[in-house]
Amino acid sequence: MKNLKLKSARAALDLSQQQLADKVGVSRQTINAIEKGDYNPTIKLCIAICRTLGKSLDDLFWDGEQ
Amino acid sequence: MSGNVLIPIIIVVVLILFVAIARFFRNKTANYDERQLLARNAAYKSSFFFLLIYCSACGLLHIFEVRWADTAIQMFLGVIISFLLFIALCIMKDAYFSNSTKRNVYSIIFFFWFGINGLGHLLLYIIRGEALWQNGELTENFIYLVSSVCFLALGILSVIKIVLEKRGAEK
Repeated sequence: MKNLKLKSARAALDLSQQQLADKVGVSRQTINAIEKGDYNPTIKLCIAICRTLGKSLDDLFWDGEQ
Repeated sequence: MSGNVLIPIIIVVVLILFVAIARFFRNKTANYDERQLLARNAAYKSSFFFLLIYCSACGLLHIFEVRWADTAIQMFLGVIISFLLFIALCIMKDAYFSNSTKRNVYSIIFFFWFGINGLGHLLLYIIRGEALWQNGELTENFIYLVSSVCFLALGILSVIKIVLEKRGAEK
């Protein structure tokens, strides 16, 4: 399932996938895979992404419908 | 100890020292992230099980006295193919190339250089009149054929991946 919350949070800060990847220390393909729902990141990476984007884990990775 | 034994030992020792020194001074930014490490682990597993099945198949053929190549050639082919399978799986999962562009270019140059070099050796041996298949068995030349074709395929695969990556990098 696509992670549109992450994509919109990144776009709101006008960050490219590469810029976000550089900030959290992963490859661009990893950020792309998370946004496409192809890869489930570890909690460590989730926290790094949340800190970079200024969001909480709930905001980006919790799906309320489930 | 004769020179035939001593020279290969010296070459191996020098090679190991060179690799150890290169690893010690290597660029630390070439590390892989967690998704790439997982993909690499999966690729390791696939290539390991390929080699296991390949060796079992070769062993069975040997038991039933079906000879298709010398044992050394059989093992060498298995190792080459499983090694190249690992690289191909890593490239396809974006887990082979690191963030260092310089290293990626070196890898691609190496793939094409090795592929063309192997192809050159093969053509040279064929021109000399040596065959790929002799007395119902594969000859050493078949190793050149397999390795050169595989390395050229890896080079092409790498170029395709890098072009797709450049296109996919969104603003």
